[in-house]
Amino acid sequence: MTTTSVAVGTELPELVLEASVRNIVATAIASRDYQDVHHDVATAQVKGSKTIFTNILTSNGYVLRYVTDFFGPLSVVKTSKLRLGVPNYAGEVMTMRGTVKAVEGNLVTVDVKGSNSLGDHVIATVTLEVPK
Amino acid sequence: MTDRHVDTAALITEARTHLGGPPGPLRVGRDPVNLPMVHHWCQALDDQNQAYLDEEFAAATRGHLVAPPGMLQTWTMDAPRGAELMGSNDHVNRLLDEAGYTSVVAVNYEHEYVRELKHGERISVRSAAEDLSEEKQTALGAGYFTTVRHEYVTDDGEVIGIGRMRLLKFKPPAKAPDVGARPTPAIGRDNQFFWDGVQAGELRIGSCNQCKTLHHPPQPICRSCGSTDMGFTVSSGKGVVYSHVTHHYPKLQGVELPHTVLLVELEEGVRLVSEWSAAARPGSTYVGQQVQVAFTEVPGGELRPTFQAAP
Repeated sequence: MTTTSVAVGTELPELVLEASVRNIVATAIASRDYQDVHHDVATAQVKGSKTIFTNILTSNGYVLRYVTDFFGPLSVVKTSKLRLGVPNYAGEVMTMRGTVKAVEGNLVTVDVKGSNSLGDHVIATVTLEVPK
Repeated sequence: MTDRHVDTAALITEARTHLGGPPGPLRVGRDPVNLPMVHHWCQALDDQNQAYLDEEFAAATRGHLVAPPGMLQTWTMDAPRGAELMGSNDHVNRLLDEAGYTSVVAVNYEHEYVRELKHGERISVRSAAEDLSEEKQTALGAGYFTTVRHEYVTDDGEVIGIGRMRLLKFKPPAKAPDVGARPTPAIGRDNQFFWDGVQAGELRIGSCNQCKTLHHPPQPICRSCGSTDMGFTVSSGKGVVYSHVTHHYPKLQGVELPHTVLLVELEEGVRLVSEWSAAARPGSTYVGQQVQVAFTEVPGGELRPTFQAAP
């Protein structure tokens, strides 16, 4: 994907991500996040959560994967800004949707939203350099 | 649980003096940027970007493989050493932890990726809180909002990324979760004596009136001599942990998790399945541990024979 093949308003194809227990644990440990709410169901519940949930590094990682999957391996992420909403609990299915917000030279800005059955888990804005 | 005295107000006041001040100590990444950790990440997130994984492609387009930008914070995180996780890296959050605001929810997570990272580069981070709100009552409990700025540097001091995390730091709920009432036992002619004993503060063990063999759980016929003439004897309640297992999941009605199930061998020689007394649960459980029966309430308020560590 290049800057000439996208325009403001271009929609990225949806990406559906299943948050299984295994996925939540695997991604938390891959990001070296050993907080118990990302692998220990009983402790997560004692701390007031329904069950374990996706850690923030992973939510960020998925947002960046989503935009770089679309713009290809030549794109380079410059900034990401995430606002966190509802938790992405084990058992949820998160759907990522994105829209090109701005194109300035080789810099593209994309709005991304990851939603599950509880609402919006992540609302993000990513800028990346994309070849012409 | 011991509750040592904490002067919360003083700790918060001290925390405010650090705002705008120097960052906390440099936290040096355990391992430099490396392919095995990139593989772990890419497999877990199913990210197949060639810039991270395809050496030929990366060499042709960038000169070398690069790390996924989303891993920036990962390079400075570490596996727990023993039971403890690493504490907060900036002065303000360290003091909030001390004041009891130990639970964290991230509200915002922002990064500027100054440049891509290549393998072999060691990443360190310096962290400083930029602001600290007044105490807020939130759905999760009382807490403070704070924004922590993380500056990621190479060994040469080059700033390769800036992170900003807005956090709610709150006190975890002190109340035990509502687990419902423990199911009541099925009491019949054969085990009536056992449950009457619990009410009387006696641990009664079924005993054959003919051959004196002890039985637990209670049963109508002696498995040793076949007699149906069964009585009971009162145990001293002293024994040792013969075996134990800790149940984490799934949830069980009337049981606080994690729940340690004890198989206690009484000094009379029979074994029974039990649990720790909620009020006197020791820090560890081990085979051979000396225990003493205690009749205590379980969730729902009924008495059960439970155990505590023998004095």
